[in-house]
Amino acid sequence: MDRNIKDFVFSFVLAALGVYFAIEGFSIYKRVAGPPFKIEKLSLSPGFLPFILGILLVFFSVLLFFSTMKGEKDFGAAFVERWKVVGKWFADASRNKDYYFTIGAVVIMFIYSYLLLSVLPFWAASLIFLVGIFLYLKAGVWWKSIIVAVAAVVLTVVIFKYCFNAALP
Amino acid sequence: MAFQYISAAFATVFQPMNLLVICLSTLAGLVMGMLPGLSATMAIALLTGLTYNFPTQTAIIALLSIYVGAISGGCQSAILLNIPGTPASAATALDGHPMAKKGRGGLAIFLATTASFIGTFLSVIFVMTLTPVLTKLALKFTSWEFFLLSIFGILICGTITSTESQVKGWISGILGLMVAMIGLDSVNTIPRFSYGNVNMMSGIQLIPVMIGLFGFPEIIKAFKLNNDEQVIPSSKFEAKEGFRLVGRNIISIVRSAAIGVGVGIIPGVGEDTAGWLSYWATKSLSPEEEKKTFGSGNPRGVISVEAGNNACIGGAIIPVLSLAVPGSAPAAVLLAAFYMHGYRPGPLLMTESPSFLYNVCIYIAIASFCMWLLALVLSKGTVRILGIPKKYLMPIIYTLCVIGSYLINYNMFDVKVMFVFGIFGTLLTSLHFPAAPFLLGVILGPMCDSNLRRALNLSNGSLSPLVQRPICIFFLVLIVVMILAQLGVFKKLMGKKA
Repeated sequence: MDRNIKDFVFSFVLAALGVYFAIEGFSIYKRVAGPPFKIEKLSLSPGFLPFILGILLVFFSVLLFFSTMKGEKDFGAAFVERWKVVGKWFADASRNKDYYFTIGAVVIMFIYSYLLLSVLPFWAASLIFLVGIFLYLKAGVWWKSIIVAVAAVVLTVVIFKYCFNAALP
Repeated sequence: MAFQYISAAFATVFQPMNLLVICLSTLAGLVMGMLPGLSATMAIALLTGLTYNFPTQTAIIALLSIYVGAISGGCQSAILLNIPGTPASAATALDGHPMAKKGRGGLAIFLATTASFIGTFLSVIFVMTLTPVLTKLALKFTSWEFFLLSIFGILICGTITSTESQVKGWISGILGLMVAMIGLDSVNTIPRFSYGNVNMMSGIQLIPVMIGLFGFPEIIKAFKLNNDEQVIPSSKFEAKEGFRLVGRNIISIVRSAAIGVGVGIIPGVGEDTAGWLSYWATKSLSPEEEKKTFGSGNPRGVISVEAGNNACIGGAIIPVLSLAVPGSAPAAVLLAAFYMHGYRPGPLLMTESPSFLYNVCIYIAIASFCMWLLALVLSKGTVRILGIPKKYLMPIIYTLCVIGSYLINYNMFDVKVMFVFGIFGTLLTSLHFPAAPFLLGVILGPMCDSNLRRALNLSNGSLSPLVQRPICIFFLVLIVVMILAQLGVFKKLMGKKA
């Protein structure tokens, strides 16, 4: 996708985040204005800086948005045209095998970080992860992948557990 | 008297056992600094426990050596893999990695380690000679100045790291500051953005964010179906060329060292800010034609960052010794280690243990020389990392990222945080938003927030001291001028006048 279009879309996301932060900052102030804290001034409340940051983010998002629309004579038509390009990009991306391949690898990393490490000791989880991802990425022949994975896990455990005396997950 | 203390320090450091300790600790620091996720703070923290039973001077030598080694070691992974080993070397990757991509990785490492050595050495001279003057200056900073300093640091970082629009850099910094708002606030301990999650109440840890932001996108890059960039070409270099480049940039090194010391002496602002500021100063003072080459493999970029961040070691130690206030996160751990080994840093240190300042200076100087030698020997091996296929290397690096995130608190939550910020870092990279201001926002966020809250509490919520204090006015003018200049307001005004 064109960099300008990416910035165009992201400026909306950032503005929304800014609005959320400003509202949340203000609601923190409202919460602490009552008992037991009784902080009655916004500038003294812990919500002050988040509130300011939210407003600043909205301001800079608007600047980013206008920088993407620079040079457009028909503002409305350009606005609609950009959303059409975004839609087309999503349609193209859904047919791109490279995206699916990368997403598959990220899913393996997610399974390792969130699931395997929670239920297995580090060495077992890492061994399964490394062998699995090497095979998925077609990094080399299967026996070479297993040897590299075993060597990496053994070396990591020896260095961290025995040399640095660190407790592994 | 000072000469006697210096001679005694040399006599101590050249004892065979201490020499061995200095070599091993510096080497351990280099390795830990090199491995993504293992920071200088963690290195000192791990070694503090191990040195508990050491003789006091040997323990101090070990701790200072690992500090010097870890700050310097971070540059190697930044150059070879574009993953800064420590936050201090984040700016090194800007020009170091493009140099490695061009087959000049060996030269980049030589320049970085040599600049690190000179930077550290110069900082030692600063520590010994300028301690009283610099301490007086740092004492003038109050909460307002610290607040503005953190804002200024983030804005500068956003300005210098954006390749296209500075607004993107500033947005990135604001997002980092927002992340720093997560957790209990520092004054009233009121939870903010933690959604009832106990882990989030304690705030988002810096190291997992750093690993995710910088490590994850590089790992993901290796996972493409048709990845043409499997192997980055390895490199050889002529030492003569390296020394010539160092000699030609000696002014940049001295300037960066001075910046590093200056930044280091200000409590809370660490090696990473020193690196970025040094880089910014060198870039700003370069000729217009050369400015364009920064970010695409300019050796001067690598040299200035490394001289600056290493000089910060000396600078960060000055407030530790004189005020018992750490100048950076590793210095904070070092302060705790000094206490553990029976020293009481603070205003009375020079009365109670007058030799300690000179001991520290000599130990750092010798450790930096040792680091230079070891890093050059070690770089021959680390350059080989470039030859390993990325589809093998990157998943292994990911397991190290997991360990690095986990070791901070021995908590799996930090591993999950690393993954989330990894995805976020990948998004930022693909949208051409610089990740460094985001990281600096996370680093300086607590300092920015706590100082603003403290200052506002003292002024009963009034912002008027901002325009009443001379240093505040100086920072405010600097911030406003920088924003207006980057938005092209001055150019437009000049155009209208013309």
